[in-house]
Amino acid sequence: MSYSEEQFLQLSGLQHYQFCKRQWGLIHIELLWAENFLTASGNLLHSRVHKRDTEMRGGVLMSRGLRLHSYKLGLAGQADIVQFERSDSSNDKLTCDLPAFEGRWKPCPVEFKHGKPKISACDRIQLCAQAVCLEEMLEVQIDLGQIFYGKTRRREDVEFTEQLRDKTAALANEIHKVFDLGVVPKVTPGPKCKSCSLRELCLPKTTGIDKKVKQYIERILSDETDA
Amino acid sequence: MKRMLNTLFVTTQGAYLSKKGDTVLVNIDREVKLRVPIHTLSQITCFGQISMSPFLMGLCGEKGVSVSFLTENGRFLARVNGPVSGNVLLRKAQFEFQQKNGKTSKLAGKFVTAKIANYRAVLQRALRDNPENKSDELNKASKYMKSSAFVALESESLDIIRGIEGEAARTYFSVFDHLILCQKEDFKFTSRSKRPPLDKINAMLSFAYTLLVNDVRSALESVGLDPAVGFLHSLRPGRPSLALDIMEELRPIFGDRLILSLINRKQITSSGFKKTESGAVEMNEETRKLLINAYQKRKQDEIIHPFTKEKIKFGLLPHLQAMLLARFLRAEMEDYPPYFWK
Ligand code: SF4
Repeated sequence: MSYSEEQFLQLSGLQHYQFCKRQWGLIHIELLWAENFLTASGNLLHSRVHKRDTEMRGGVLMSRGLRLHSYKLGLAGQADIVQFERSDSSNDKLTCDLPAFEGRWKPCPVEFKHGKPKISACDRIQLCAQAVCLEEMLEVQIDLGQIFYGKTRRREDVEFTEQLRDKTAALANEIHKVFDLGVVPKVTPGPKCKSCSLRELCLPKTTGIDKKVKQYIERILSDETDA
Repeated sequence: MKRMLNTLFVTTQGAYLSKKGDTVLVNIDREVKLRVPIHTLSQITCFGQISMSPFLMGLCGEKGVSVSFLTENGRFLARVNGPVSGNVLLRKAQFEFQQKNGKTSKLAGKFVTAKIANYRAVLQRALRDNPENKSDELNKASKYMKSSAFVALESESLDIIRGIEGEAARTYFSVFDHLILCQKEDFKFTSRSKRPPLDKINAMLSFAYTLLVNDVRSALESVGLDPAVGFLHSLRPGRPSLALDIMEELRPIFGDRLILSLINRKQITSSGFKKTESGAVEMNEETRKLLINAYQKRKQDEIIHPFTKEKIKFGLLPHLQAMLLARFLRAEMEDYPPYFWK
């Protein structure tokens, strides 16, 4: 399966979708205050990270806010950081050329999380999607990525196994299908709503449980007592 | 949901609004008279001869602050919008729904039902607050509202719904004078006159309704609906039909109740009005400001929405109803729940 550029969805949507399908729908289908949400909610860290710049640190190239896309996944977005290590490896599959730099380089996507150092499937998939983008764009194979935890300042490795790649592709596929339907998914509200920044916008109490509008109106109309 | 922040009303003629960083500056006679941080605002409404720098307009667009220009008397002139909000698919659904005749009446009936029920709530409130006011007429009108609210809900013909609406409004305004308890001599009401308003109450009603329609319009735009494509009101060039539709539910509470209490609490007196040569009644600037302030204060009151059961500021009602309507048009909800006041 290959998507066209105009079908691209936001890479960051993978995370929203896994957190709550409805949240994803509100942001990516309804486009309501998505701007505000993306810049104002927990993504402060990201907005800083997403400033585009590149620096060299001890032979390692750190590239921030690199724009990524994948025709295979039909996704486009930005990476937090992609780290490129200079490599003399003869295994050419794992290294690539970079336009402005000499030599061969081995890329490794790095994602930033403020949370605890427990890598969830959700984080893995997000990172894997970035790796798939990089692979496509740089014609390279990437076996490992890293997740950096703000709290402990530790990095953990994520291996891009076949299984993880399949999961990632399946999820991207599913999101495309829902997007094409154009209807924000209904979701039964749950504990996660407590930490959801779109609560007010979502009106969780009006969704999921299919409230009967007709009953609501009739109840109110007949409720009134006559003076 | 959008947060209910302040509206900056600018009424001083000749004022110039500009920006400095994230602050709105109100300049009068080349002097900065007021500084307001943009993040404390959700709207800027300018009356009459007010101008604004394009950079401030840009900032407002970026921050989702809606900017409108009205004449001194509140007639809508223009609005400044940032990049289009919402989704084109929603508008498409709105247009498609509009074209399906059978369906239009379903929505129209909801707006009218709620409007009539809210008319009734206003009458009931008056009866409750002033038992001595228990005129037969009020009682009868109230009963009439109850039955016609039901009829409007069940009707499938747009013509019939419009007819019911017209008749209910006529009945309601025929007893409106009974709701005025103080200053009865000064504030006499006979019937609704709009173009132009022929008495003080009509002048105030018209002004309050224009403030309201402006708010509803912004709300619709910010959820991505087209304010001109309505269901109860017919489409006409320049007419914000959908804003007028949604407004029906809200008029009795945002407009009628507000004006009644201003008169009955003697916050407004007859000296604040003048009659023009043509017989039209106009408010003076002070009265206009008083009304704007009262309207503004009203918006800060909190209510529990009977359908969503969420506690919200009154002023967010247009927004919430717009959101609910959008959900319905996108097939996310089985039907549109209008707002009922209690
Ligand atoms: S409030 Fe709950 S249901 Fe709504 S988007 Fe957030 S998490 Fe999902």
